[in-house]
Amino acid sequence: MRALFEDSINRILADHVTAALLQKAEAGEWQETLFNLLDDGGFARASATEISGGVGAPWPDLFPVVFACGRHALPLPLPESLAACWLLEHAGIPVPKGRLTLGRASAGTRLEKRAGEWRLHGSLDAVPWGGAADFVVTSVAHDGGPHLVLAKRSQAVVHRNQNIAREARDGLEMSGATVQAAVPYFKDATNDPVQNFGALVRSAQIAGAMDRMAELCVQYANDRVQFGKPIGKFQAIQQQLAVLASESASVSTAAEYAFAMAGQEQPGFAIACAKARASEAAGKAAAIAHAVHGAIGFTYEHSLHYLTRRLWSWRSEFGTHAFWSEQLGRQVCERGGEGLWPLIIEQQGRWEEGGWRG
Amino acid sequence: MTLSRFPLCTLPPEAEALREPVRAFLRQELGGRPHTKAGKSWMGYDAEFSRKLGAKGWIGVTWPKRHGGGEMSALSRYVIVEELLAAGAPVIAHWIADRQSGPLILRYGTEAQKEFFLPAICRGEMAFCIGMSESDSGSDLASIRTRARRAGGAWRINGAKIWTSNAHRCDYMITLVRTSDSPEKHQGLSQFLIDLKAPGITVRPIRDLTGDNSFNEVVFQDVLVSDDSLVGQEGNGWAQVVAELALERSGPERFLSCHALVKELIDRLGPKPDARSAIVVGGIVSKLAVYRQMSLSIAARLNKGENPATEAAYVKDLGTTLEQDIPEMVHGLMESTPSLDGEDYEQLLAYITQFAPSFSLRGGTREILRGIIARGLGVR
Repeated sequence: MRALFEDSINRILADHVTAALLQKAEAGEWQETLFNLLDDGGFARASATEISGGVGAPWPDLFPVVFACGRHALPLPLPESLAACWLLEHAGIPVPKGRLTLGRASAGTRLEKRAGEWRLHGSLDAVPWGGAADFVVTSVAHDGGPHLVLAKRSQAVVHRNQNIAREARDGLEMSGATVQAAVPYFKDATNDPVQNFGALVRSAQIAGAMDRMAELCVQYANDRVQFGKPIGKFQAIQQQLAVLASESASVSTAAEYAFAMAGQEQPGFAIACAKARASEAAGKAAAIAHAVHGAIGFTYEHSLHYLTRRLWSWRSEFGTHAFWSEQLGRQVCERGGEGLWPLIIEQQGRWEEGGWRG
Repeated sequence: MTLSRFPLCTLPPEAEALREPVRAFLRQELGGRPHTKAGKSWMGYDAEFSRKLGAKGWIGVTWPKRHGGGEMSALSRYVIVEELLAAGAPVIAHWIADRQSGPLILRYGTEAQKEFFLPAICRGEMAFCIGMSESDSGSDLASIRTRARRAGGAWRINGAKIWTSNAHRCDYMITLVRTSDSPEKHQGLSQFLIDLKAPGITVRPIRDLTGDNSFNEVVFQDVLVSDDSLVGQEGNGWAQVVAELALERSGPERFLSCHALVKELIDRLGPKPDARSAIVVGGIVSKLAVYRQMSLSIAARLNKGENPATEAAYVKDLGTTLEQDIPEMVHGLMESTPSLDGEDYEQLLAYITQFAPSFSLRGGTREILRGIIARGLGVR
């Protein structure tokens, strides 16, 4: 399944995510045609089972799909939709027809059950394409644990907003609005599931964007001639490209490791490692890419910024480097120094005949 | 995905089965040891410990049984090695032979060489060092001038090697020498197995800045070695050395050199650290877990007979950068006074602070590794 996904998603995105499309998306235009193409191709809900219109693809098989979304700077909530479908099914909530996204509830947001109906009091901040979605999946602490919530966007007041990459990040205000479902989420109950799976998909998007950025840098360094030779022949540039490539490779490995673990009972450690690594590397990588490209890379006309502005946005979404490192650090300190190495070993993937399975 | 390949790998059950027995052995042998000793990590010397490890069958585990090995996979070896290093075990008395000299002999050696050297290495009774650098040839390794000339049925070696770790305590050196002049400096190089007790060899200890004697100068003056001492083909030395370095650059020793200090840092912070301290610890942990996955991926590729030399450079550069950052982060986080005669933790911090510069020098400098990575990217 994985190789098939990888080929077809990259082909579709290479054909359709052009500079012209990105500019329209940045101007606030929802890319309906491309979304429908991806949805019809089975990508938007590939993580859901067949009953819900998906193919039940496990996370390791979805890694190349989300990675490709990062590589091509896709201006649509496809990764969010994959995470939303998966979370709904794992909470036992049927996946509704319509466009899905994922959003974090702001502090103080609460659930209330009245006359057999669930109501949400509060707001969801910076919801990816919240205004264009039909449904949003969020999680809210209730009765001592996280509850997964499916809400209809039409129940919310939408406040338009954008991140640095001019991707829609809308506020959804829900003052006592009825929600479709709210179910206790037991899996890895110590963590916020929306934060976790949002961080998971962002780590792979960051990996994809860094991978593409490294390619652009290598190509530019080979093409651009100064002092009579391609700038890639200068050691100063080579050393910077090597750092970029190492950071990119480590983020890819970290994200793939998290995808391999995502289906396990306790995926939190691997996801924390992946998002901490990706968020830390993103800024460093973007700085190198701009240094190598010089002034042309600082223009709107050149396409480098579609990637760098996403890195500057995505590194903070669903938890910064500081947030995830703190989570990890607390977990480790709780166990003491002698517990660190056994923890890393416990959290490695498990062997299955024929290869890696988280 | 297009620029480098680190396919995920995990450990098969037969490899994982070694972990508990190795941990139990280490608890028994090393329990209660001061942290300062664990801080020496793979530079720690204890011949007795290496012999006990050999008796367990945990040296040369991948080699054929007829040569004393265990015919296990490289992933089984990986488990043993990472547990030894995480515990800060003193491994240098067998480490170099297990990691690269033995595999080199196994790959290129004659049957007689395998029969003579491999069983003794497996017993933990034969220590090796690596003669590569010379005083005028560091990063530019191919410019070496130590010379072996034919003398009847033997070779006569003259020259000197430098920065040879542990030579003063080793039995044999595998040394890279020039066997013929060639306008192309990578040609005409060969490797020899040299008995360090042979006449004409002088081992001069060089004190390092920590005050230890971790490395040496080894001078060869008309040292006669037989034809049987040549490893592999005459003139093929450069290719052999490059293959050997892939084994040297990607192992867990490239991110666990400071593990004793990380453990001590965590214990000093206690179970409820402040946010800033937790962030620093978590940042280290995320890198350790990820770099281990990358290193494991290379081990799996080596196990399949591939030579991921470029990927090995990635792991060494990332890992040694982390290792060097660790003592700096400790200094930035808490009141610490490294001292040579103070309490155990102060001595540990003093040692690692001083030793850290070597992490990105030994086994290829950071700049050389980044050059290898850049070549892999297609800009050199």
